[in-house]
Parts: sequence; structure tokens; C-alpha cells
Amino acid sequence: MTNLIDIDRGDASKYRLIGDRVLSYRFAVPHDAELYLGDVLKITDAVKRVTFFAKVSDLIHGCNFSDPRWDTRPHTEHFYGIGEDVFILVEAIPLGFVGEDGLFRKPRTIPAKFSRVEQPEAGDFAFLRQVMGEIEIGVMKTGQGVLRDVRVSLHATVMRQHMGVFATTGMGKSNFMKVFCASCMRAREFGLLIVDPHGEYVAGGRSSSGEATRGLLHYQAGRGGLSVFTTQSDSFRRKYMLDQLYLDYDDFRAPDLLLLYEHSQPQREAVEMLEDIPGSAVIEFFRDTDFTTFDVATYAGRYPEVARELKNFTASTLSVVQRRILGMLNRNKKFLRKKGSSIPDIIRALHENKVVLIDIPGMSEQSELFVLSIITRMIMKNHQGEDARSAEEQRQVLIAIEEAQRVLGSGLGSTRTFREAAMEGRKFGVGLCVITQQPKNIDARVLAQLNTFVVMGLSDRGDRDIIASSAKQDLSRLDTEIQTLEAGEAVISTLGIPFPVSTRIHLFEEYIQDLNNRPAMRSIEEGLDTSF
Amino acid sequence: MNRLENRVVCRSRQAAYLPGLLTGASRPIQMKIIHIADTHLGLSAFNRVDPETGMNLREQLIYENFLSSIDQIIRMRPDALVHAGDLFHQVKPKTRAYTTALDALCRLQDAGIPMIVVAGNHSMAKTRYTASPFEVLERGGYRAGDLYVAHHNRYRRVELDDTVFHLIPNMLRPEGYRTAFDEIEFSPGTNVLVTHGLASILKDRRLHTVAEHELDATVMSDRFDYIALGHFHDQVQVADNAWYSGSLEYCNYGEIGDTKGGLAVDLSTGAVEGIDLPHTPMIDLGRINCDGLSAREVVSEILTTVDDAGRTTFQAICQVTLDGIRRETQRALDQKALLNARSQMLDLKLRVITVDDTTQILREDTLAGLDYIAEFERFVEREHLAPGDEEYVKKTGTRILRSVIERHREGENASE
Repeated sequence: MTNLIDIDRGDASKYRLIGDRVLSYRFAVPHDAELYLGDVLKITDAVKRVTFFAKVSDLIHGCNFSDPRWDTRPHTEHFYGIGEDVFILVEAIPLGFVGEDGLFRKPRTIPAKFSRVEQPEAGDFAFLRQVMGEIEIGVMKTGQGVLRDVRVSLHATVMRQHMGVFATTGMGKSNFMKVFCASCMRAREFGLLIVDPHGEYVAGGRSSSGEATRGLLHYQAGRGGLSVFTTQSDSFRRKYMLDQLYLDYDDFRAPDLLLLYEHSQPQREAVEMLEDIPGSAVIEFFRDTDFTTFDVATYAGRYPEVARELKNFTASTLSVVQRRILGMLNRNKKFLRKKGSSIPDIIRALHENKVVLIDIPGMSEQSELFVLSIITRMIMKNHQGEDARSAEEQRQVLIAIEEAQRVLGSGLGSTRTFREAAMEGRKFGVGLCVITQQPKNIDARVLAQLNTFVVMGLSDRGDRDIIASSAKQDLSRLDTEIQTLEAGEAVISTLGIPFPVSTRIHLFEEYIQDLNNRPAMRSIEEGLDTSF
Repeated sequence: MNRLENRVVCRSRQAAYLPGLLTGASRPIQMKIIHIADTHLGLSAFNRVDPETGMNLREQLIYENFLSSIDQIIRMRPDALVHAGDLFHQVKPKTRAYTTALDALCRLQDAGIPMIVVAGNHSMAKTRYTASPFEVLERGGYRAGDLYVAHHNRYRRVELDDTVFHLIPNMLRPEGYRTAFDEIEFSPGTNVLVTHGLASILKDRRLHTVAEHELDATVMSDRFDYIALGHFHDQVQVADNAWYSGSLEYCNYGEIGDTKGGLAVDLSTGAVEGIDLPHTPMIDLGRINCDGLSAREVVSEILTTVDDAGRTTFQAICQVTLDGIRRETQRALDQKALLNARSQMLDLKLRVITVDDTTQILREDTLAGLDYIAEFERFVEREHLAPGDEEYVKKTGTRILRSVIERHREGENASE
């Protein structure tokens, strides 16, 4: 039987900093202390009169015994007692320190030897309010618990520098996106575009675990920050006061087909050849031309410029392109018409800093990509035309791309629109919100452009490694914590917040209930009769 | 007025003679309509007076052309004439504008052609105490069966045979269109929307006028068989089923490339055909390369250009572009030498691209006067205010300016 010796709680060797590096702290705690990975601790440096904060990154059993095998010797309990000499060695990574001026700084110095290590209280994190942004997403997590008063909020200004949301199924990705949307609806700091092929964001639906969920329309107090463009029935549209989604032929460009189908080299070349020709001309040319008898020299149709571009392609190649264009028209006939597009309305809503939801339930993945590609291209075109604006005036739009490996994969350039947005978008105020379960399948150059990472549990080591190597803050030492994240939890690394923050994402249903009860900003003109 | 009162049901006279209707059998009516808009009766400009009547010549020509257009439309025998707004140029039209409109209505009534009209932003009363000009027409005996008007920010439904016309006049607030649209009960027959505003697809081509509102793509619903639009002065299709007929007249030099006239619409087939209606022509006489030319030579070139155009310029609105002219040459142009040429025309504009200024001068002056809103915005932009301040000053200033212009305009009109 182990010979227990009572632990002296006042033992000065515990809870005192003994680490020796700026970027790595170490201290011992009693062997029965209850500490968890991710716990944030406070280190009070009485000498420099500053308070350091550190996050537990590893817990190791340690002892003061010289025999390294003391704990595996037979009958070890007769020789060793578990008391002060047996302890848990805690490894922690520094987060930064707060000086007497109350400002938070990066950890460029080391606390004095034997500085006191303590469990912080909520009041100790008051400094974090200085560094948090406008887009609230959850509360700060520390080990097993949460600091309810410490709300984690992303900065709106960094959204143009792209964001990545990495989560495996069931980790709460949809919930996160809805919370993010609700906060964007409230803050109205930038436009956010989301294409929803499952119809879950608008009025709710079923989560991946089968539970009923609510939608963005249920956030009534923020309704003014939401525009929904839908293909659903007119009665549904009227019931919720939604907009109708229409795209027109001129919104289409031939290379959009590259996203939707696999193409042989000649087919790809034919499609790319037509890049600068208005979509209406391309569609009508292919719809009205019989390629079994097509000959440029004798072509007498309405689009000789299209015919000329295609003079070097075989009838079989053109027939395949024709079949695909007709397929595209047929598949998207619910919202695609010859003239009369919603794109100007969508862009206007985005520029009014609304969340714009493209609601196309029941439509195929191809339709989703088709819509997303067109709108992204039109936003880029619109913003590129505004490059004369100063940074303050520039409108900011964030485009969410679900299953982003489909369009930002490391393959060939089939996704030029998105690649351009990823590489050049920030110059024009266009950011991407890259959502994926498989970050390792995303082009590394795209990942390198992301400045905000929301990591919600990744079981694959390759995925974690690629995230750690791409993030602007060191996530490699949070590897264990990332592995042990539970559903609804995330590690967030972003510009503006000086260290990676472990976060418990709000539950959307509870969050909107809270938001609905918060007093909303009222327009000064509300209630006034504007006619005279 | 409640919605029931707004609902009007009648039969067009022509359709009443169809055998199917007389026997009670159900058969689709092959309705054909003419769509016009933006007639702006009462618009005057150019300080040219008709020596016989003493009236502003521009104004008089607009009245005459309008009545000639009505005669031409009557000869085409449509089942209805649809006017998509801005019948009058002012909220309180001139007496002559009223009498012209009444003349037109008499002729249409005699021909048995009903007229369907919505109020545009130019003829929309913005105050509670201002009566709509359409009330005058309605009280003039046309309420019963010949004139159907939507005004005072209220949706109106008009049924002619199996065709339902959904009339949404220019609304006080932008969201008014959507509210009206969402209230629409679609008929199983033919549905036509008649409204006035700027399609959001054309938002880059704002006219910057008072109460100009955007019409979004949702309102341009494909549930309508046809959408007759007014406000934009060029003849253009903006959705599969939606057209601006364009104004009848060229209302400013910015419209020189526009197509004017009306549209003949066959509601049974959806076929839309442009029709040329009488109007004062606006002619681009071309561009004179002024590089190295003296002021006298430039004047000589202008006169040659006008001569070459011959009789086509008679009572026409004409424009000559002076490309690459120096400012001092421009100032030295002998305007008196051009008087004779000008007297033949309704107006001659010398559009100037100066060599000293590489940016083209886009002073597409409206005939109604200066665009104060755009001028104010340009002024604020030049002041380089602090971020945030500029937006605030623009927003507040523009709002005040709009209300002042509108009050001023209403006051001016009232005194006419």
C-alpha cells in the first residue's frame, strides 16, 4: 500500500515559475492538482510589476527521485511516498503580459524566477476587451471551463485578409457559421456572401446529428442586416419577405463550365477561347448552331465573332461544349433567365454590409458552384473597378466557400475566379472564408494567404500539420489541444488578437435569443413621418 | 381608399365585340397594347419662342408631337395604351399640359382605347396637401371606363378582359415597391406590371432626380407576362419580360444615343416591337478636329458642318463636338457668326473637349438645369474631408438639397 504523506498546500516549490525560456514556461503543481490542457494561468511578476498569462500545453508526471524507474520498481510503495516530491510538471506557452498601464503586450520578456502562478479570475482578463474585435463568436475557454465574461470577437478589418474554417463533420461548423452570420448581421461592418445549397441557414433545418436547428431569419432583431435571395416558392418568399434569385445569360462566362465538368484539353481550350464573349452570345450561339454542319466560312447566324473564335475546333469538341451548355441551362433554369439579373441587388446588399444568403435548396452541387463562381467573379469585377477608392472608403466583402477544396484545390487552374480572389482579393476589399474538412487538399499558396484560422478539431495529422505551418501564429504547440477539442469548441488564430484563443462557440439558438433581447440600434428617423 | 375600391373590372370596347365573349364561351383574348412613358408634358427649354403663339418652342413641339403620337397609336388600334409614368413634367402641370392630356384622352376615348397610367416621380405629389394632377383628369369625366390611374403611392389592380394590369406608381419610399409587389394577387390569365423607377441593373445610369427609386430583380418577376417600365429614357429591355419604352422626346443631350418611341406588345405571344413616334430629332452633327485651327476657322468648320446636314436640322436639337480645342480659342469663338445657323434649329450645342484638359468634359447639361446633387457630391469629394465626415456631409447635404429643390420646384410650378 502506498505510503501517503500529506501534501503541504503552502509548499513554496509548487505554483512557482521555474521555466527558463521566453517562449516556454514550466512550473510544478501537486500531483493531485486538477489542471487541464488549454487552461490559462496568471503569473504575477512582483519584481517587474507585470502580470503574465500562459496557456497549459502539456502536463507531465515528475518527481525529485534520482532513480528514474522508481515508479515501476516492485513494491515501490515501501520505498517512495507520493508527497511533495511527486508532482505534475506543467508546460505552458506564454500569451503575453499586462503592465501597470493595463496594456497587453506580446511576451518579449520572461517573468522573474519563482513568480507566482495562479488560476485567474474573470476580472483578470479585462485587458482582452482591448484586443477583441466586433464579430462575436463565443466565449473564451480555459481547460474544461469557460470564462463567460470574456467574449471572443474577430476583427472586421482583417476579414479581407481571408479566413479559414477547418472542421470535421459534427464539430459544429454550421453552428459556427450561423453564429458568425448573426454577429455580422448585428455589426454591419462588411458584406458577407453565403451560398446555401441545403436550405439550412435561412429558416433552420436539421443538424448533422439530426437535431432541429433555427435559421438566420429567427434572429429578428438583426433582420435588417440580412438579405436572402432564394429559388424557393413564391409563398415562402413572401412569407419571409425574401428576394428572388435570378441570374441572366450575360452573368455567365464560358470558363464557368470548367468548374462543373471535367474537360479534355481541346474542350478546355475552346471554352477558354470564349472567356471575353458575353454569356448571352455564347449561349445563343451554341443553342442555335447545328455542329454537324457547322462551318465558319458559311456560318450565317447572329454571332460570327463566336464562330470565328471556334474555327479551329472539331465538331465533336464543339458538340460536347454545346451539350454542357444546354445541360447547364436546363439544370439552372429555376433562376437563370435571358435578361434581368439579381446580381446588382446582391452587390448592393453586400455594400450595405449585409449578410447575403443565396438560398438554393435542393439544387445540385454544380448549381451551387455555378452560382458562387458567377457572383464571386462579378464582385471581383465590381471591386476592381473601384480601385481608385482609398482604403477607408473601400467596401469590404467576405465570400464564404463551403467544401473549398472543390474550387481551391491544388490541381490545375480550373478555379481561376477563386484563385484570383484568394491571391488578389484583399487589394480590392474581397476576402474569402475558406471552409473545409481537408485543409491538406487546399492549395498551399491559398492557405498562406489566410490570416484568420478557426480550427474546430482535426483528427488527421496531415491536416493539423498543414494548418500549423500556414498559420501566422504558432499553432504547433496547440496540437494536443486541437486534437482534444470537443464539438462546438475552436482554436482561433487571427490578426488583432495577439495569441491563439481557445473558444467555446456560442450555440446559435441560445445566442440569437440573447441577441434578440439586447437593445437594438435604432435609426434616428424611426417613427418620424417623413412626408410633410 | 381600401384595396377593394382600388380594384377595377371592365372590358375593353374592342374585345367586347369578340364572338366568344358574346356567347359566353371561354377563349383567350389576343390583347395587344402600346407601351409609352416619360412624355414630360410641360417641359420647356432653350429660350426659343414660337412667334405665333408666344409659347416656348420646345414646350409647344412636345405638345404637338405628343398629340401626333396619340393619333398614330390610335391608327394602330391597340386594345389599351399603357403609360408608365411621367405623363407630366411637373407635379402641378401647366394649363396647356393639362389641356393637351385632355385632348389626348378625348381622342383615345372616341377610338375606344382605354388608357392605363401610373404616376412617375415627376408627377408624384410629395406632400399631403399637394393634390395629384391625375385627380384633375379623373374628375374630368374619365373615371368610368377610359382612364385607369394609379397615384398617391397606392397599388391598383385593373382587369381588362382576361388581362390584369398591376399598377405600382412611383412610391414615396424605395421599399414601397416591394410592399406593393408582395400584395399582388396574380391572375390565372395574363398579368402585366406597370411601374416607374430605375431597374437596379441600370443603377450606373441614375438620372439623379428627386424620388428616383430602384426596382430590384425580384419585382421584375417572371410571373408577369409583361412589365411596362418608365423613368429611364432609352428604349431598353432589362429582363426577359421587362422593357423601358423610352421617352418620346430627347430630354437632354446625354440621351443623344438613345432610341425613342414606344413599344407594341402582343401579350399572347410576348412579341415586343419598337415603334417610331413623332418627336423632335436630336442630331449629332459630328466631330471637328480643332487641332491647329484658329477661332475663325473653327466657326467656319461649324457652319460647313451645319450646311452639310441641310434641312434635317430644321427645328432639331443638334450637337457638334469640338475636339482638342484650346481654351483661348474656345473663348474667342464668334458666337454672333453662328446666330443664323442656330435660328434654323431648336438648339445647337457645342460640345467641347479641350486640349488643355485631357479628361473629356461630360457636361451633359439637363435642359431642366444643373444637376445640383451631383455637383454637390463632386464639391464634397474635392474637399477631402476626414473619413466618415465626407459620407455624413454627402448624405445629410444631399437629403437637404433634394428637399429644397423639390420645395422650390413645387413653389415654382404653383406660381406658373
